[in-house]
Amino acid sequence: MSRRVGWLLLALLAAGPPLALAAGQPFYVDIMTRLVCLAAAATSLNFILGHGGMISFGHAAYIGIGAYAVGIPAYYGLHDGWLHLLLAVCCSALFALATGVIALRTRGVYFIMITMAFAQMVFFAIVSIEEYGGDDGLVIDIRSEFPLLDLEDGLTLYYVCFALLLGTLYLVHRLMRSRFGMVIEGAKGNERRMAALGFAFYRHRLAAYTLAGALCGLSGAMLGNFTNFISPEMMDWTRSGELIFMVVLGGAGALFGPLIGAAAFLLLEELLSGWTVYWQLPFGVLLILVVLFARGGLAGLLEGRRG
Amino acid sequence: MDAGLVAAQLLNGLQLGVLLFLLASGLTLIFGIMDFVNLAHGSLYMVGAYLCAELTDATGSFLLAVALALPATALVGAAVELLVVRRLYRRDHLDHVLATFGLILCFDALVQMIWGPEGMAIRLPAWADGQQHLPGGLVFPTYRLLIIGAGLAVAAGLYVLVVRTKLGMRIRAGASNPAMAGALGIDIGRLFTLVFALGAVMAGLAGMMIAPITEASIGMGNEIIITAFVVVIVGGIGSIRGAFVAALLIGLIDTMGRSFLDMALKLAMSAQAAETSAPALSAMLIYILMAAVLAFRPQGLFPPKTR
Amino acid sequence: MAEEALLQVEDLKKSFGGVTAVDGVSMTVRRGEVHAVIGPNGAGKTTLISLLAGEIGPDRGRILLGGRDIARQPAYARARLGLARSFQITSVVPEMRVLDNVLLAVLARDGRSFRFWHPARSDPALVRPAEAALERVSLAHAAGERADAISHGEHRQLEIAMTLAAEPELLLLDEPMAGMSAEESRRMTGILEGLKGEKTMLLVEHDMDVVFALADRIDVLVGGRIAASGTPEAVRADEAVRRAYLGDEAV
Repeated sequence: MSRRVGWLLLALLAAGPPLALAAGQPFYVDIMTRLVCLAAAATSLNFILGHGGMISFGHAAYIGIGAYAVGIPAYYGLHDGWLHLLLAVCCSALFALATGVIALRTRGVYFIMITMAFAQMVFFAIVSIEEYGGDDGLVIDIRSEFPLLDLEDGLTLYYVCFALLLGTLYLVHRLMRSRFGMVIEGAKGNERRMAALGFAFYRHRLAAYTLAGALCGLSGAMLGNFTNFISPEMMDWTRSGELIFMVVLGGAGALFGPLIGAAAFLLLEELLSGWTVYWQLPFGVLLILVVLFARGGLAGLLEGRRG
Repeated sequence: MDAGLVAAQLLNGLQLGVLLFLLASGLTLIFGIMDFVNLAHGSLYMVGAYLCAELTDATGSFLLAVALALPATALVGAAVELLVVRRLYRRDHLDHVLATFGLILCFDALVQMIWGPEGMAIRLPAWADGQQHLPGGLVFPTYRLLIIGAGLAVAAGLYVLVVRTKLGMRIRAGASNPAMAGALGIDIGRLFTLVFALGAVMAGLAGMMIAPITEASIGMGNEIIITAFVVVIVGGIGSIRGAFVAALLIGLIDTMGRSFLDMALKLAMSAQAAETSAPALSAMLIYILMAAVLAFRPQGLFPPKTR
Repeated sequence: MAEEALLQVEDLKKSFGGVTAVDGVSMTVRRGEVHAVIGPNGAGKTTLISLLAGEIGPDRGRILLGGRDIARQPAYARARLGLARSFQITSVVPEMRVLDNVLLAVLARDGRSFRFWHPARSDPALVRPAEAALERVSLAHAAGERADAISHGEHRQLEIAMTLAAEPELLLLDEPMAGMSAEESRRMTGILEGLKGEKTMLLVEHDMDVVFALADRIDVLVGGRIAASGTPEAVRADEAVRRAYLGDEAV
């Protein structure tokens, strides 16, 4: 059932933007662009959180790193898109690798707080660099340049982001069915048994953690291109919390969970913020209720599982 | 380097340290005893600050306001424990962080509904508002000295409470072995509510003490809470002594780094390079310290004995 | 050939705080035999198993597997050297299928786990041995079930299948009959009998009937030390053992 909803959403996202434009509603293209970028980021988080049981509370850092991998070169007049993407992937992967080496040696509460702290470190580092705007952020006046693709065109940008989402989903799907994915999943379910079987799964987790970071960096690069304006606020720890919420709302560990979750999240945000300036209140209450009473997320509700 | 400036910054570091201790001691107690991750601990810090600001306006006395706001914050903490947190002890850490993240959203929105989006300043009474001339020709704000004194007194009081009193004995029993404590006839449910309220009071007190300097503002807890997490990680989860040592260490390192790192770097590199890299590096300093501590002592400086 | 020592434990010691749980244990498991360790509750059996499997490190002593000292190796490294254990309290990956659990064991032995692309669940190099191991413990019918949806007896069978699938030199079986009904226990005894002679087994077990039916040699652990050792007949006849441990149960 959750699969069917996922496919339906993808179909909607594939066909939606031209229809929105034809109907004279470019605003919806914007929302959908944001949605596919965030869904791709949430899918990369789901890979380690939902499938791998690694509760990373610092995933927004990779969105920020990816965005600044576009913004900083652009600030120096370098607009080559391949360079941006390469930087986004490499910097994100490096940061994930370096912090993962330390964080993954810990468990439980420690892991959550350490990933959070390292993300905050990037946040504060960017805030303190006045050259790149510090707190105020950085304007990207020219989007990444690719041969044959003009990202200044909203629809083109959208479909590039959409392709990224499809690619991320397919990659995670393949990974989770592979030998590597089985080890990741097994280590989530029962560490002790996996060790007794002979798996040194620390290395698998580190690889997965690095990969998830790199993937999220790509989403960040696209999000930066889309917003034309980047700031440290993109990687505030509460953004990481929102990504986790998307994953759990949609159903952690289900392939389409993060997509469904991101869609529901943005929809709620739009509806509630249109209704009241205090939209965070019903949002927060809903989050608590989801945790207390609908542990499987929307995917779980769609499957008829509860608790 | 000016010795007076160094001394003043040492005092500033100490002041940050005692504030961090007030936040971290509650966090670490709640982690240690309930194995519960409370992201909303920073919200209690904010609630304390707003209550104190409101009551200072109403009563005209800062001290009276603090005296009234402390039990009020305790009530808020107890209510949060009874309504939400209590249902989550048996759940996993992911549920803890999500639900308490929801609480943060609720608190931020509620504070905005009650007190508006602007911050609230607190006027200090005249006796606390001056400067003190310290030995060695050092001039330092009276109020900051009061914060240091009050913070150290609370730390001492907490130590006596945990080590010397019957309640403290129960707290320690609950921390080392909840099942055993239950078997000994300690009402675990009430103990947990009490500890949570105690943590709330200390977080609230920290908020009340800082508010006259920074003013009470929405989201004020969301930044400092991460630093408090770093304190808890470095100190070792569940250890009050660890929280104390780590809080002072981190308060000092952070303050000193921001003031003097550029000078230190100038010894090793060009003035211009030092001035550009020092702010970013000093912002990252405490996280680098955390990584270093974890690399050598994965459970922090004062690891829990049982577990 | 039958006399060759596969596992040699020399003067193994472990204390927790002031309590010495395993106090200078030495024992030899020969290749191809079923070697049982019995002992009353609190004799140190669980600690001994944890020491052998590598979940805790000894204070003193050596553990030689095929002549190589593994006493300081972590659990996963010992598993790779050919030591597979089953758990007293069932320890499987609950949210995966029964077959997937065994597949993981095969994958662990195969070693090539850094493969990111090809589906593992349709890889004959993994699936065939996994299915064979399930056949071996008569659990093939439950292959597609989730591991948390099968009965307690089936869980115990799955435990054995996972240890078998790892194709170990030595099977470390930690109370395989724990919590079983008489019927399930009989079936498990049959399964273990079928493995006898083919696999070397170190069996820690409470159920005396099972031990005396299966074991070639028995060590009796009392208070962290080996109190007696020898063939089942010799142990059964040992007066000290009867008094200290078997009590009226054996009479």
